[in-house]
Amino acid sequence: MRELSDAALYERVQAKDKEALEILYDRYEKLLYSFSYRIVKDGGLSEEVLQEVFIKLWKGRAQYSEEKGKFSSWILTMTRHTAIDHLRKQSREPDFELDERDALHSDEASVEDQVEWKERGVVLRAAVSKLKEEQKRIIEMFYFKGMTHKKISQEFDLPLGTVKGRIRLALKHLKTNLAEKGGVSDEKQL
Amino acid sequence: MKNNCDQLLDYFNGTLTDEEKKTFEAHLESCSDCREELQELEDLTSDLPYLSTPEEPPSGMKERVLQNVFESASDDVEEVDTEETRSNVTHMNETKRSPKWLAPALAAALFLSLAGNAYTYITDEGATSETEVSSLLKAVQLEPSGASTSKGAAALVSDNGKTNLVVQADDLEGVEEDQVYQVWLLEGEKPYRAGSFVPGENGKGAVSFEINYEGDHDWTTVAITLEPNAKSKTPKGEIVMSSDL
Repeated sequence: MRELSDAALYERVQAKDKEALEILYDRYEKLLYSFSYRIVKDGGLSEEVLQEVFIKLWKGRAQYSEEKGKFSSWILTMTRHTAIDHLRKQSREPDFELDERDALHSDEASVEDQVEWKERGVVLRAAVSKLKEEQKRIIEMFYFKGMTHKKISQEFDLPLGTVKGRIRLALKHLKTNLAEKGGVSDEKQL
Repeated sequence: MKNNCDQLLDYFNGTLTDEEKKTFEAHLESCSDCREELQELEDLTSDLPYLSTPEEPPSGMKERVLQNVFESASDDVEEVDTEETRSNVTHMNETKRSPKWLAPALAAALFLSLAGNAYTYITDEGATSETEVSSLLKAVQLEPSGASTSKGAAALVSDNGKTNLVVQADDLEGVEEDQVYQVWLLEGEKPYRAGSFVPGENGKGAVSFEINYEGDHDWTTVAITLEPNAKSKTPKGEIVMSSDL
């Protein structure tokens, strides 16, 4: 069963196949845990996030279908939403900013870490480092802190109508930086 | 922020209330700009999760998480049991011969059968008895035949005027080639097909079958046989387990 695609495993999980869930868990544990950690900055909380994500998966509370895109993107989005939710409940500002923390840990990935993720991370961090400070911050606040539209407008002292454009611009710059690096492709699977 | 289009960012971040989310999703249907922008946001951010530095999960996390996940599911079925099905379930529990495993087995079986209706109940934490719950007409434990060590449970469940037979079995031997476990409902000596299944690697299998044979039937027995394929019109294989109804 280990060779099955994510989507095929998901189908089996819907039929309450515990083994299929375990395989999906093994496949995504580290990525989702690290991603949650990136958002909530706390190990115990990240574990809670993961548990909630897999409960949703097991109970069919969150429905995936192939027209929603890749399973990996879908489960990452669900994880991000769950983590943001925990962050909001906790209502504590995480301590780190995009650049500091990522620079701090950039080369600590151990050998067994999945190579693509590592490569992707290196290229991404390089692309991020070329952004203007404000662009780094707005991506951090929006994507990793899940700050609301209104909150971002206050935080950055921007009119509500301008927020979306600024975020889009920052993300586009990041994408352009990535393209120049020639490194990261959307098609890459973990 | 009265304009729906202004909720795109909050929708993307999953910070809208359930109601706002529904409204926005309805808006998405009719607003191609928002659909495009949402798609663009998804594309532009698709790499960002990989910006996370690999963190080592705490030891024992997998066991804890999976245990809680699997336990969480059975909790929910108990919740369903406390609704309209309670009287039937109680009756079932009073059956002295029911060994301990029957409850989870039936819970699983019921869960499958109720999936449609119970879904709303289970997912909606604030939900009350508003939700329609199927009622359990009859539940039996399936007795293994011969040397078989398989266990099983069957339940007749009424749901929206339809009757479903739900069967769940454990410790089944694996099947070869086209073999399937076929469930039969017997009216006297006459067998009617009532669903088939193939057990997973863990030896567990389950099937929910909507009984829509014409006319009134007085089912006397439920039985499971191992058939060479899923096409048997009458039982060809030995009975693996069965019970009177």
